[in-house]
Amino acid sequence: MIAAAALAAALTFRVIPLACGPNGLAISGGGVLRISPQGSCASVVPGRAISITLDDQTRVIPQTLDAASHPATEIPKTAFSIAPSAAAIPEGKDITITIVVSIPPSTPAGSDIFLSTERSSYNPAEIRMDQLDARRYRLVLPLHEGGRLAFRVTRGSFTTIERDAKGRLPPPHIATGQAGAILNITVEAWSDDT
Amino acid sequence: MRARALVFALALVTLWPLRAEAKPVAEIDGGAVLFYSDSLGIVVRNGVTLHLAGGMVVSGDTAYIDLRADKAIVAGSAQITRGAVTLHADALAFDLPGRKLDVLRSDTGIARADATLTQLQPAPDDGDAFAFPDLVDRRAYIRARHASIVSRTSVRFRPAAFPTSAGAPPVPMYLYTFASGNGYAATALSSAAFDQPYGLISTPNALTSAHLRYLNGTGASLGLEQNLIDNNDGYLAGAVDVPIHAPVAEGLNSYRRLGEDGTVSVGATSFDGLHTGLVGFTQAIGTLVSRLNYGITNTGASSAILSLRTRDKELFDGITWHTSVNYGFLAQDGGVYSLAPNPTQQQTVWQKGIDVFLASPLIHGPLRTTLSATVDGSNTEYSYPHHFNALETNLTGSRRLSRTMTLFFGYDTRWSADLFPNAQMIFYPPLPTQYGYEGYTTARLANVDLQYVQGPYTSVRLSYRKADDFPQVNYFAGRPPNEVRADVRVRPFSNIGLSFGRSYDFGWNGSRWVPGWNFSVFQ
Repeated sequence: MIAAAALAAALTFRVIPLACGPNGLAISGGGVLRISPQGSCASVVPGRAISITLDDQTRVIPQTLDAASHPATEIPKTAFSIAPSAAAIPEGKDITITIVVSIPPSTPAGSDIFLSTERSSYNPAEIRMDQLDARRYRLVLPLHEGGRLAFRVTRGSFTTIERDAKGRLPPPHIATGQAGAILNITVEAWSDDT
Repeated sequence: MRARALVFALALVTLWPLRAEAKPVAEIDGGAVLFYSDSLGIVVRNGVTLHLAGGMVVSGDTAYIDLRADKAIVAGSAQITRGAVTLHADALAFDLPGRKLDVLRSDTGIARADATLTQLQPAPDDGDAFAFPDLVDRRAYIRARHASIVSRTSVRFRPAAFPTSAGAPPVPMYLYTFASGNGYAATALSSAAFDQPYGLISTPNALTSAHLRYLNGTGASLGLEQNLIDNNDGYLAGAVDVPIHAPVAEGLNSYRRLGEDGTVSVGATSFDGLHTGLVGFTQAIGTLVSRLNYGITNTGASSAILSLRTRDKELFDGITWHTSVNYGFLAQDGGVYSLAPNPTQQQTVWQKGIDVFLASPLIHGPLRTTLSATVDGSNTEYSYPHHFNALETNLTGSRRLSRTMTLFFGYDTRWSADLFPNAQMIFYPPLPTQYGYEGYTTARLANVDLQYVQGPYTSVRLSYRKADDFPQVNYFAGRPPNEVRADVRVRPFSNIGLSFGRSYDFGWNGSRWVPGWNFSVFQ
């Protein structure tokens, strides 16, 4: 137990404080950490990430943010006066996802393929995709971890937007922010198919 | 005018029911209101006050609002007031109507408050409600002082700025729409080299937007568009486009699902005295898709084509195919064929056609190459003795040169024959040599493209196209003999990317280069 406390004391943890006062440091997820007499709330700004270290009695000492800090989920349970009940909270890291679009063989040769996203109110020629081969296009997109993006596939205009195999407008595709995720989309048909 | 009114009425009929309510569920004021588009989240720093639709007022040091879930957290000296009752806490978590309220106090933990704010029941397992994400200020897409939220629809920022490392371009107001529904993507505006929508008014079923546009050959233009949306089932988009140096264009575009397998669409355009109307139906029948398209103009022309197409199916060894047949008519007041001996006798001409399309599989060869090919042949017969045959082929290859560089090459051909038995000389009379076109055309296009892609931040594509068509006469027939083009996509700032393309046509009888371009801004 003492060894674990000593090990924890050597580490810093990244937390999002919600409030800090004599009763403790409330953090994102609803847990409350005990404050060390060596610590102070002076530098704590609610909502802004900080690092904490633990004293030998697993009470916290707020610090300025250290990028190498461990996630809050690794804080020893003994440090909490009120344990958090929330699951792990995404740290909002910047990640990239990959969207691969397969187009129908009858797509006019030389077509550019675009992603049209909710971010631009669905500008049909918003982001030109990179070509992989004659039938596949790809776009690597930066996203926040846990983020989400709704998008459609077009050939650059609304009259050339994708349709499903029955000729209907499909609902938007949804990309979610999971590091390294690859989203494969197959376009069944285009609006201007005859 | 009657035709336009009829088209408009038909388009309106395709939509029902529409509910419009744009009452904000929350108004936010804060020192810094930061919006993150890919998480649909708002972080408020340096003090925050939320006025909820139910009359409650919440304030604190900071706040996070999850627009997707309609939930909010206010933390740091938080308090909520309803009428004469005020509740203090270290943090408050609530849904945006304010019906469900969780209270976090460092000494007692989490409790659930009742509607009067006077009774608290322990709720130690509600920690998820207090999950405050770790969002970095510099990654915000928009920075503002005030935000007005319409539930699951839109958020309006005032005044708004778009922070980058090189400054923060401001606008007095910015409306960000995140409602789902196919109709938000619909437009009745023509394609443009640059088109930046700017939302003005949004409700759960409607969006009014201005479009700052640039059209190649026409110049700058201002568009105004109104979209009415019925989830993913229908929409109506009406637009007026006002170029500085060209006549005003008007457009209408609507769509509605008919049951599980059918759709109807109605469209209309008006430009410089020419008015057109279009009505289309699609219906899936098993593995077939049928289409009926009817079009009419105020110049006395109309057409209706019914087609039936199979889905792509494998023939053998990965080769896929589909076929379609069509039947319909072309009509023109005064005659479809103005050169015919008695044109008024052919004011309506019926047609029937067949098209067969074959595609090879994508073949992976040595040296990281790929190759694929398609062939498309069609024949159309007309009731006035006349038939039109076409054959198109395409060969596309690629070779991956390195992790970042790929070379593409292609060769397209198209042959067509427009034949009038015993009357070819009437419809294709002798003309000077370069116009010596007797109904037979040949079009060949070779292209080579070099693409460089470096992660998500940089993409450059250089293209050259060589067209060898017959006939090929400047502004008369065929394509420009040469085209070079560059497309670049870069992300100069962490939250804003730019995509632009520039092309030049040249070689028309020694003509100068004719530039064209496109441009877009994305996040």
